[in-house]
This record gives sequence, C-alpha cells and structure tokens, in this order.
Amino acid sequence: MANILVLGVKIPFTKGGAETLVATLLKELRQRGHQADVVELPLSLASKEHLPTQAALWRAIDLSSFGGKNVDLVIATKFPSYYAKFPRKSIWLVHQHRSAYELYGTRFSDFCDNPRDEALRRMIVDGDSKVLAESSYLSGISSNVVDRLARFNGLEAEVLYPPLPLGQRYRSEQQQDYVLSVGRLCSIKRVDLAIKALPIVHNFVKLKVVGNPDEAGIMEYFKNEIDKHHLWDRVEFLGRVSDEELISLYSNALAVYFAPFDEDYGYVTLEAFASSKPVITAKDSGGVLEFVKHEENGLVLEPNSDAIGHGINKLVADKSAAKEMGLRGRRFIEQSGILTHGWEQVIAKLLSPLEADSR
Amino acid sequence: MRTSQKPRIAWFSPLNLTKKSDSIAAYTSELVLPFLLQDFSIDLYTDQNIPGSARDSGQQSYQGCNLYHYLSCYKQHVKDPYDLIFYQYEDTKLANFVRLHLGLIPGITLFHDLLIRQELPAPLTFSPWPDILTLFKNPQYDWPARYPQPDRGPFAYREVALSPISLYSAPRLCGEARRHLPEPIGQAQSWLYPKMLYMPLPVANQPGAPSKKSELKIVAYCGSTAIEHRAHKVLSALREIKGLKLNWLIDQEEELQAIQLLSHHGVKDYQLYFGRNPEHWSKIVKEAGIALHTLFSVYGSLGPYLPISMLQEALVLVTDFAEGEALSDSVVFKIEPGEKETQKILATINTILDLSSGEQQLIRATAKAYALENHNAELVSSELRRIFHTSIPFFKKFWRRWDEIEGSARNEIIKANTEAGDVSLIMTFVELGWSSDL
Repeated sequence: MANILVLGVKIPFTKGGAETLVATLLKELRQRGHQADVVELPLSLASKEHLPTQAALWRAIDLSSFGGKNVDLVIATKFPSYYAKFPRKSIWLVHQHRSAYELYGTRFSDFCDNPRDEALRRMIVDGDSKVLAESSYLSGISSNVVDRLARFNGLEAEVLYPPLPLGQRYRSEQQQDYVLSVGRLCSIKRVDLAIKALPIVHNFVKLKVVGNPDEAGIMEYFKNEIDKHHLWDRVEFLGRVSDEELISLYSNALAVYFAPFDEDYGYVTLEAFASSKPVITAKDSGGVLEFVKHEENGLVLEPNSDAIGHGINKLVADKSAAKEMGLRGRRFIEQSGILTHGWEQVIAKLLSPLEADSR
Repeated sequence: MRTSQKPRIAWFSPLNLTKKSDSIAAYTSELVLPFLLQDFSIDLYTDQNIPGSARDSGQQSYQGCNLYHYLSCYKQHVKDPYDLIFYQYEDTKLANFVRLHLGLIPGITLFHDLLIRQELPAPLTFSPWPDILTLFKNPQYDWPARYPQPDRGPFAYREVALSPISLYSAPRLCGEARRHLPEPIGQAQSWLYPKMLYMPLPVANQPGAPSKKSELKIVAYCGSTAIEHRAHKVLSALREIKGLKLNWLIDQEEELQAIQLLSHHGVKDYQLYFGRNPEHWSKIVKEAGIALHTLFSVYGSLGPYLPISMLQEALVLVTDFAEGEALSDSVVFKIEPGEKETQKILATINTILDLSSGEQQLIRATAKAYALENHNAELVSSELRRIFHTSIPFFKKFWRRWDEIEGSARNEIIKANTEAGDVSLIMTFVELGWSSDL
C-alpha cells in the first residue's frame, strides 16, 4: 500500500465539483488500503498579477515526507496544484486557469489585451506547459479538458471520467413540474438563462436551483430578473442541500437544466442521467456535450433564454418523451460503467507511476 | 526551424474551413493564398473548431498551409519569428479572434469594415490601447496604473491605432481611417511610403462567362432585408414591370421577412436562394441580365458581390451613394436614394430593357474590363506581395520596440510578485523560465 497525497486547491467559502472530486478520490484511495491525505492551499483570484506567486508556492513545498512517512505519489488536480515538484506526480486535471486559456476573449475572463495581462497569460501557459509535461502520468477529467491541453500546451493526455460521487444511490421517481438546476451560482454557469426563459414556459412549471452564490452581485442580478418578470413563485433557491435531498430533487424533476459555458466535465449531467432525467444544455457547453445528444437523452439548444424556454415547453408537452430521454441517459450511465467499476480504472491509472517504478 | 528560405507569414483571418460563409475575409483568403504561397511560407491561425490533437501541431492544413490555434502564435513567433503577421478585420463574429490578436502582436491589417456592430469580446472593452501608443513612442514612459477604460463606441479606433500598416478594401474606409487616426502605432518611425492604403477586393476570374446575355429579364439581387439594402424600394419597382423574374439571394434566417416583403409589394415571379456568399452569388448572377446592388448607408459595403456581377456581365444598378457614388457612370447605372428611388429604379430598368444589344454589349464589356483591372485576384495578390516584401524590414525594427514593451510588461508582473525579495521564490521563477534574474 502506498502513501499518497492528493493535491487540492481551496477557494475558501466555495464548494464545487473539484472539491467533490478530491474528497471522493481520497475516500476511494483509503477504501483500497492506501495511506492517503489531502494537501490543500488556498487560491486567491482577487489579484491576478499574483497568480505566479501562488503557483510558485506549490513548487516550493517539499512533499517528500511527513511524520516519518515517505510520500510515494502525489496526485495533482487543478491549477496551480500541478506546479508541485515531485518525482512521481500523477495529474488528474480538473482544469487550468481558464481565464488564460479558452475563456480568454469572453466575458468570463478578467484578462484584457493589456500587454501586462498578455505577459501574465503567456507566463501561465508556458509555466503550465513545463510543469504538466514533467508529470509521470497526465490525464484530464473529460475530452474537453484533454482537448484544451492539446490545443494550448501541445500535450497529450488520457481522459479519465470521474465516477459519480453518490455511486448507486441515484433513483428515479415521478416527474413533477419543475426543472432542476444544480451548481455554483456564477455567471459562467448561466442559471440566468433558465430564469429568463420562464416567462415563455407554461406557468405551472417551476425552476428549483441548488447551489450557493460564488460571485459578487449574482443573487442581486437573479432577483432583479425575477422581479422584472414577476417570477417570485416560480424560482426557488435552495442553497446547498444534503446528499439525500439532492438525490430526491433529481429523482422527482421533469428535467435537469445544465448549460454552463464550456464546462470542463459537469457531474450534474451524469447525476441527472443516473436519476433517469433528460438534460437541457447549450451548444457551447463544452464537456456536457460529450454525453448529451440532442433529442436522444436531452436537448442541446442555442445558448439563449428563448431556446431554453421552448425546450422546456417541449418536454412539458410530451412527458413520455422526456421520460424516454432520461431512461436513455440512465442506460448510457450503466453501459459506460461510470456507476459501478469506474473507480477501479481511475485509480489504476492514477497509481500507474508506482507500478512503473516497481518494475 | 524553418525549412524554406521564403519569408514566413502568420495569417489571421476568418476561413471557410467547414462551410462557405459570407465572410469577405474568408473569400479573400481563398483567392489570394494560392498566389502568395509562391513567395511566402504561410501559417494560418484560427479559432474555428478543428480537432484538438491537430491544432497545436499544425497537422491540419487548409489550402496547403498549416493551421494553428491563434493563441499559440506567440510560441511559434518566439521559436522561429515570423517576418510578418497579417490580419483581416471584418464586422463578423468569425473575426473576433483577429481583433483580439492584432493588439497582442501588431502587424499588417486589411480592414473590410470599420464599424463594429457585433458584441465586442470582453478584452477589447477594457483595452488600454491609447496607453500602448504612448508607451511605444516613449520608452521612458512608465506603465500607467490600471483604470476603467471608457466606452469608445463602435468605431474600430483601437484596431486602426494598433495596425502599423493598414489596408482598406474600400477607398471610403481608407479615407475615414486617415481622417480619424492619422498616426497609428509605429508611424513616427522612418518609412518610405504611406501606411494606410486602399487595397481592392479580389474576385475570382470567371472563365467561360457568357459574352452575351440571352435573358435580360432575370434580375439578380443579394441585398439583405435590412432597410439600408433598399429591398422595399427594389420590390415596389419590380412589381411594375411585367415579365421580370427576381432571383434573390438571402440568408436562411431572412426567409420569413423576405416572403413578407415580397407579399406586401405584390411581387409574384421570384425565386429565393439561401446562403449568401460570393460563390453562390456568382452562380446566380451568371443567369441574370440585370444585377441590383442597392445600399444606402455610410457603413457596410457592396463587397465582392458588385465586381462579381460585372465579371459575370450583368448590367448593374447601384445606389448613387458612398461606394456606388465613386463608380464611373460608364460601368454602372446609378440610382439616387430618397423619395423617388422607386421611380428611378423602375425607369432605369426600363431604360436597360430598351437598350440595343450593341449598347448592352458595350456597357458589359466596359464593366468587365473595369472589374478585371481592379479586382483580378492575381493582380490584387501581386500588390499584396509587393507590400509584404517591402514591409519586412520595417517590421524587424517595429518588433524590436514591441519586444521591449512586452519585456517591460513582463518585468512589471515579476516585480509585483517578487517585491518582498524572497530568494526561494525568485529561484522558482527562474526555474520556471519566468525570470532570468537571480
């Protein structure tokens, strides 16, 4: 059994898919008898100029031994944890600093065409290329993430889809008249499109939103939209909910709305499928499109509220078609093994540098 | 490393990679690249969706040139510097990445539009380009503090200002740019000829085009349903002429509006064609005796559609305004915009229908000769080739100064990160290649 450190990055007061991935990975490693622990450093995005320092701090930490135990392997997850220097470093890349990559040029990036921003962007891309290339094993959580590595860093990596955190616990019950949105509340997740779609959606249909705000002013913006369109009794913000509540919300939804901009992976899609629910997404939603096929197991729509609204109405008008789409999603989940044997494969791959050493 | 002795060019432009678009820049690229490749080694940069594994390696090619993601240009440029970087700027979302990048490494820009109606990419909204102009001119100038950038409106000030050499595909655009921004970046440096030039749009030669139109009563039109293209005037004139058939090229999303307009004006004999692009227009206008190019706006352009009509030997009507106004009366029929526009269109078409075949033939031949002389793709390419060759020494000098600015920007970042003087941090920066100082 090996001594393994999972390297996580903590943005205090927020929780998203990356945190879930680290926690689940840790649990799975321990279940297999490994001595595993998490090393986390906070990341502040308040001043982008200081990102190099935050990356360099990871580089400066000596991770070779703690409490008399030698560390055999580190598994880095997202920027800048992969800057850690270690002879056996597996990378299961959640994402890089996306503002410097595919988000550059969009309203979701805080980099402008100021030469200072460009210098910083190049430093990050060049630094990433160097430290990612020195890994013993390089993988990403989706084809979208792996594709970015090829596009921007010229690196080849393997796709390792994260298995679902709640395993086989997802279930499907009746179709109630609500659409569920799950995820951090920030502009890139585009929950606003679903809210703004409601005026053209049948008025008995509600939107239930799970997740905490992760961006200044986002709740005020949502509330303005709700006031503007008189949607007070149609949008319900539930905040963070327990695992059991989440499973129940999925199981009774008519459909799940998940249309972020260029998502890395998105547990939500697969959780919806595991609950036999169709997913409403957008044509530019990135990793989500690796799973959602239009009118097969969900709807892939233009990223605007009109299209989303008409899409929801379509599912409301033909609930049996919605149910059938959800069931196809569930079949996909079962056939892909994401629910059952997924972790065996993930851990075998992430630990492969140890095997290479022992040979 | 470079494998040929040809000068290297990084080419940023919308391209027709997957399907034909109405992008003038994509059409221009298609036509001039084969000629330019005789003299230059050209790498194409795009943000369009090409398979990830091929993108950075440049394995995918288009028209014999390697294709790369635009954000990887700086890496190539550092590894093996380009002799020139060429941009095509246009008012289309396809050109958003071009707008972004021309501020990251300035080069030669060919402008097809100066007014941006598309939503701006965020980095441009906050672009501090006036500071960059000042920095470029004055090496002693310190980096200014960041401050919120004012909204500078839809005119392409930034893009013109950050183009040391700029070309314009319409004389009016060139005049306007000179009037608004007489001194773009690098203009103070010594130079031999003007740096803001008119460059006619290339059009494809039309081998086997008909020398004589048998069917005068087919009218081809490619104006949009937007008011400035005057469809309402055109249609109200056409309904008055019996036996005339309208072939109208529009974009698919305009179909409903077009049908409403046709119905409102009572035009019954028509055929709609979908997918506006120069090649499609070429096929449609080939069958027509008359081509309509109406546009009443200070912005927008008739693009390559007008010279294509001339090359296809249609008799051409244009609005006597802006781009159309500048054309010679011997090659087009001009329609004064305004209250009597409908009557003018009607009267002009009737005049054309009354022309003898000899008169028609003379006008067609003159128009075709004009189009060939000004828009022949080979000729335009040779002009571009000349500009590229003579610009290379200038850019060597220009980029030396630009490199200084980039270096200084990098130093600002390093300074912000290492002010505390932590030696291990500085050593890490050196190890990562971010800093060369110990």
